[in-house]
Amino acid sequence: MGFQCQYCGNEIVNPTQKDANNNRIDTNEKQKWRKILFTKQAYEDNYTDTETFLIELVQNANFQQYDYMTVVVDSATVTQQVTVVVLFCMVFQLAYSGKVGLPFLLLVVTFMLIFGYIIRILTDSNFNLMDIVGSTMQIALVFGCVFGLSPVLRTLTDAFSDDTIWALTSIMLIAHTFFHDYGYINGVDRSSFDAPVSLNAAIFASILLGSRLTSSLHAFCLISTAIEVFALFPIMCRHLKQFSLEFHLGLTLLLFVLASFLLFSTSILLALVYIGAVFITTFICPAWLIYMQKYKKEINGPWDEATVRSFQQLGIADME
Amino acid sequence: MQSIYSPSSPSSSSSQQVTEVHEHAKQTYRIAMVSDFFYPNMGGVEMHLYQLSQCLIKRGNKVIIITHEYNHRQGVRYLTNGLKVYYLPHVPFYNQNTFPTLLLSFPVIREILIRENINIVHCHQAFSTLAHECILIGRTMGYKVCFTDHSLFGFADASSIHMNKVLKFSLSDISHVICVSNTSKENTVLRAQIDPSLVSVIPNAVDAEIFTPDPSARDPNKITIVIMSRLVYRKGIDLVIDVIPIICKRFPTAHFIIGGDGPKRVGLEQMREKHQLHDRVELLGAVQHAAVRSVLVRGDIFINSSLTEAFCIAIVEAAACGLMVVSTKVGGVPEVLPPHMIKLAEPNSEDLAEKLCEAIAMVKTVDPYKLHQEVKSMYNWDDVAERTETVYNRMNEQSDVSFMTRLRRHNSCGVVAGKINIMLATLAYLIYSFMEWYKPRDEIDKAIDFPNEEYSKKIKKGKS
Repeated sequence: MGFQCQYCGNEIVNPTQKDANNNRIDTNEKQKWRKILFTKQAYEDNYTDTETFLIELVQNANFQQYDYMTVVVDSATVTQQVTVVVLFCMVFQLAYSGKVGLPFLLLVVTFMLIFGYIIRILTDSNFNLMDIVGSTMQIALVFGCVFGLSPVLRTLTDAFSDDTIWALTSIMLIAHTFFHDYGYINGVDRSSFDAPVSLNAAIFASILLGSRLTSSLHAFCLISTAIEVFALFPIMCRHLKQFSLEFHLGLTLLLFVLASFLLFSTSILLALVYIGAVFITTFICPAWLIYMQKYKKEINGPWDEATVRSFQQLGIADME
Repeated sequence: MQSIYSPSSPSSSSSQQVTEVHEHAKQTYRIAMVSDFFYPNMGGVEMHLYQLSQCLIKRGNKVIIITHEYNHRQGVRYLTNGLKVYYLPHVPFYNQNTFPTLLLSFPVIREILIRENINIVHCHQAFSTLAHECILIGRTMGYKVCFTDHSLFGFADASSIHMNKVLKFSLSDISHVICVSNTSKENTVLRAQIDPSLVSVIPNAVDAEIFTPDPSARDPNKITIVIMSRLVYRKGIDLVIDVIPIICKRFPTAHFIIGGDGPKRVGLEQMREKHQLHDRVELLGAVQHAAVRSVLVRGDIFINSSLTEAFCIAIVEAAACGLMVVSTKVGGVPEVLPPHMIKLAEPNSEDLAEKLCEAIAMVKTVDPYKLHQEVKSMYNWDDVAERTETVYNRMNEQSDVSFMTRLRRHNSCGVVAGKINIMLATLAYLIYSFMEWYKPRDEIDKAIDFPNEEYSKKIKKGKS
């Protein structure tokens, strides 16, 4: 038995039903829109459900708020590397201008090597006797090779003009600072130093500069300095920083003072440029980075490719 | 500056069936489908293009396809039911994509569109350079242009940033967009920053006549698990490599069949070697598209381990063949099949193994024919064609826009990018005006349509 219209007597097909509080119940209420494709829904194909559209969008999920002092302290690594490059150039300058004699250069090389090793032994607890012996053998091999090949290395880029040498060296050393593995020194969990481009650029720069020197022994000194300063120094720095932050900062300061002093004796303009660059790197760049953080807009959602760490990558042995 | 020459308007034809009591005028369209990816290449986009075109032709529309040459296969070819394909003499340079010419393909495509009296241009796939060019060309000539996006993109890596900017340019002035899943719609709207009401969600479908179950092909003593995909990182083969030894150890009757080829094949062979599973893991290599069904019906369970997927046709094909599906919960996959037909796992090895164990436990209770019937009712290409026609109707109701409006739309892409886009759109318009003077429309011969009705009548007569 259906409902009858009280005016015309016709049957009402969809009568308005009322609930206990005399409010209308919409019996033709559409099914709520679901995010599925396997059933036809009572909505147009271009319907956008305002409640659930982009609900799984996540912005800045990995946001890290940086602290100014932490970034300043961490920027000491960059300062250190720039200083080290400057010091290397100063060593070349001293050898090229003939201000210091060969014995002094050899002394500097030996002293840096021994000093670096002592610091490594003191700061790295895992560095036992076996390692010392092993690395001494390796050092002897490397330096022996360089010594033996030094005549060849010196004449390698002899034919280049001076301007080419200066230009190429500048480019190589800039590339070195750009691609250097700062994370390794700052203590990122990695077992070995991993920056092939920067190391190659630096060694190439040293070979270029070596060709301008007067004898192959001079070239040997320069290339040895390069190896110590670019290849071995980062390893020592990492361990020093892990051992004590104060020593790390102290070393940076010491190197900075030494570099400025040497630069002042050569050219005041260069010294001022260097000091300005260090100031910008240490104080202005961290502030700039923190200022730009507010523009960070990282979007993540269900459309992202899932990151998979397979058992092989994780090193997990076969599961039962 | 209004577009000087407006394209031909769609015709209304009477309904196909003479048994209809009253004639209702159904709009039919003359559609140009454009994509770099088409037969003889076999893949998702290619199948989608072909099936959609066939169903649209059946519904009385005229469809042509524009693509680039494949191994010297150049010129005009006719496929089933008179589907005309233009293989343009543009050489692919990477991944079956034509070298982007910006606007140098304008004369050729303009001539094709005028020759065939097209009124709708439908471009497919964001990767396809030809599709992007045709969006610009189509809009410059005043056609209604539709775009279908078949894949998901991220936002963080260099290639995605570049692609998204290109997409933003193309979609700033488009009539309508079709996405294959709701997740894809969200992704496209975010990437191109367009109005969501301009995006329709029309899923892919599967040809249920081909993918039918055959329980007799299964081995009753074993539980066969099928994996059919390209063996690349993106398809999550690393997960499969981890899961197979676990499952083989736990279930002595489990047997794996892996079809497909790629760089990760070596990893699979190494795993097989390491665990001595030569009799339990079968590596088939690359499987021809025609042979896919015969491999699928051998299985009880199908695994899809992709790390990202807009709409996974593979799982629908597997479900149509009566297999239970286990898949990673990524992208648009949760929307595709109802929960009783699929087990969704988080994209890591432990959860995938767990869900696979659950599937193995219940696989013998599943009726493959029932699964097939359900899939048949959920997804079919005629439905896709009908919904696509609704989109065309919607596009048809939009009024033509003036050139200035188009420029304003292009300008909204960004401060610098907007100006570059305006320059590009203006250049396209200038080239178009030049071509209209250089080779006027009335000098272009109109092509004869393939006589589809007579052809299908003859076929029916021939059969009876």
